[in-house]
Amino acid sequence: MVVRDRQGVNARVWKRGDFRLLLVGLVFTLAWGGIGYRLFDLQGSQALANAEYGFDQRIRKRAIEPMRGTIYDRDGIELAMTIDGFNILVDPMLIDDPHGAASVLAPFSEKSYEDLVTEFVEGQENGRRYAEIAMRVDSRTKDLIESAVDEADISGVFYRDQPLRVYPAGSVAAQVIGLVRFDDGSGLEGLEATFDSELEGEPGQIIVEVDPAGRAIPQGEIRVEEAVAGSDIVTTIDREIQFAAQQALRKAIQTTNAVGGSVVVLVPGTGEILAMASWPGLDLNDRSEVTPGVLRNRAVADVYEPGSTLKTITIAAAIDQGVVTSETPIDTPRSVTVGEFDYSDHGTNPAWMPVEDVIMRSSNVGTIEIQRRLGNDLHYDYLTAFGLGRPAGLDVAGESHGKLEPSSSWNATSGSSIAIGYAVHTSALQMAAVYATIANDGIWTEPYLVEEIIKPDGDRISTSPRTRRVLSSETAAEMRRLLGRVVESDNGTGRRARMDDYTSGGKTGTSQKFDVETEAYSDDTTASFIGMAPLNNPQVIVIVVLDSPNGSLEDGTDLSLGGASAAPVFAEVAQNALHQLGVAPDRD
Amino acid sequence: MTAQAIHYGTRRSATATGDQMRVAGPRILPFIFFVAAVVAVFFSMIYLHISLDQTAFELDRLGSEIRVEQSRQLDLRYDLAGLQDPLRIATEAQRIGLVHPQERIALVVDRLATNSQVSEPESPVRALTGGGP
Repeated sequence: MVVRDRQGVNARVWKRGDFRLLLVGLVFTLAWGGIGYRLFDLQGSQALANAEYGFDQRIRKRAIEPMRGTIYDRDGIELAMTIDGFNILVDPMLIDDPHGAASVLAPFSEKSYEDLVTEFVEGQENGRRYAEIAMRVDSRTKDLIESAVDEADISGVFYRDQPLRVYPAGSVAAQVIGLVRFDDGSGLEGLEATFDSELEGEPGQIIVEVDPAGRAIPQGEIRVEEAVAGSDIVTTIDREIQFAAQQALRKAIQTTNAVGGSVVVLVPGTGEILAMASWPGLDLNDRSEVTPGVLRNRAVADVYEPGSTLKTITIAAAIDQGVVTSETPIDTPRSVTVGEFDYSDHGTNPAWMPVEDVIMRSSNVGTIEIQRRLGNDLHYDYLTAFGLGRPAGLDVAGESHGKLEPSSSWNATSGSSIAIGYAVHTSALQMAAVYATIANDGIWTEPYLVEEIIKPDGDRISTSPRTRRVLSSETAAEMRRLLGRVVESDNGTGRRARMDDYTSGGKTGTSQKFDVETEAYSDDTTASFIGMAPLNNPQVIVIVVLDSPNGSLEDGTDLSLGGASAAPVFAEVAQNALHQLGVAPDRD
Repeated sequence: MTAQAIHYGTRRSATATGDQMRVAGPRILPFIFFVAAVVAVFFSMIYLHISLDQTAFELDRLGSEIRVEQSRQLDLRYDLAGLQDPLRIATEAQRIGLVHPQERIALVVDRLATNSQVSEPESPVRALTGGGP
């Protein structure tokens, strides 16, 4: 109310109602002020954090697993590949009838019906929302489960993507290809491990804006960061030759009662490894068979004393240095004493023979005499030039260096022992590379398993193996002739390596195994044969190594000898490989 | 209470002050056009939105279909590679009674003979088993 005071000025008279009005006004002001402050707080100082929080609430991120690269053989046939797989999961809280669900799901699960019922019931009691039914099943199995679940009207079954690594020919080249881990899919052995970084690719992610029910909003934000697939690997393995080598090795192991063995097939001119078989074998698709022993690639991981197959290096070095020729007569007494050791020949030999017969009859005494003329230092130079004492191959997982002491540390007997293949340790692949050098006109070529890596963008990285000349081409040609006599002559130790369709040359090897417990050589042997065919233009090198073969053939031949047990395997594998490669027979 | 003249501009003043002058009605046509345009834009936006949604759904469906077909292609590649497994072929060949040939005949074609890689005709058994005995 407005009244006029004595000076005629309007004056406000406070009444009770006005105070209430003021109070209400104050309350409103405070309320709006509070709201304003909160608004400022939310939209101003906390704006970024809230926007992020809100974004996180309506955004779902899902990792996209990269597709692991494929491993091919030389003809482009898959040896290892990744297909779509699924994990089958159940939310027990959503299951109405645990018994019914268990009876439908049990046939697809590794768990029994009773285990599944227990898991579902306990899950419901404890509020657990996760149970694994089957892990890494393929899409066909998933479809079967899906139809069974739909038919039985079971709720609470979920399918989560999980790439599945498969091996179409599971037992072929198993130790070469290797395995991936079951949990994270990373490489564990073989090429899978060696080339894991190339094969695995880079994971991506998908970001989707979802409604409160978790469904994707069609016009919402969707961002896909695509996974980058892994690179593919093309190997030099020929699946057919690999299979033939494995079959021949398996048969030989059974015939000779050997405890293990390996076969390598090599192209001498290029260094391509066409086959690399090891026994015992395994099926990569059956993990119950997997033990560290069977996964070992024996052709590169196991080292052995090569025995007489190493005489080829000794004699080749001596011929190359002009110390001897093929016709040089060498005294071959019954035995020779060097230092504390007596060395003798297996069987009876003439009192002297030319160098070409020393190798044909595999005379220990004769080879030791040739090594003595050559000298330790030159001998060592040739051994290292042939690649002994260091890894032979490119990209071969788990490859052993072998063992070769420098000549400066050799004792009185080292040269003689090494000349005939003792006191030196090599892998089968290293020895195959030695014979490939002779087949390739004296040029050593690094063996390799991976022909090329194909990047996801199509770029190809090809392998270029190292090469070096070790022998003159004349020496190499002469050595091929001498090795031919070992097989083609009726007196040769390798006559059982003869083939029906092709000429061949090679060398037998038998070395006693050193027993670590008794610290002495045992009666067990490592029997081997390394050869090349066709002799005039070698297209393949095949090495066969058998661990502790025993028994005898019908004619009494001792199977512990390389010429009896390993040489026939060479013939079988080499003939098969040459047929497979389409090489014309050169024997009438 | 004092009435105050509101200034509406020259023309409106004239109409307000001159009885003899025609009283103009509100200009309705532009308003109708305006409303119609607003309605048209509104419905167009709804239509556009629906179309975009449908396209998004269609893209999503096609994406799923592509994924399914890619998965199927992988499965088929796996099947094919499995069917070419030499062990499976050898076992199957043995089961149906195939044997290795007793005799192998090689035909060397003269004009190709300089190339040592070429000559031997493919035997059906060899093709199945990957080689001779």
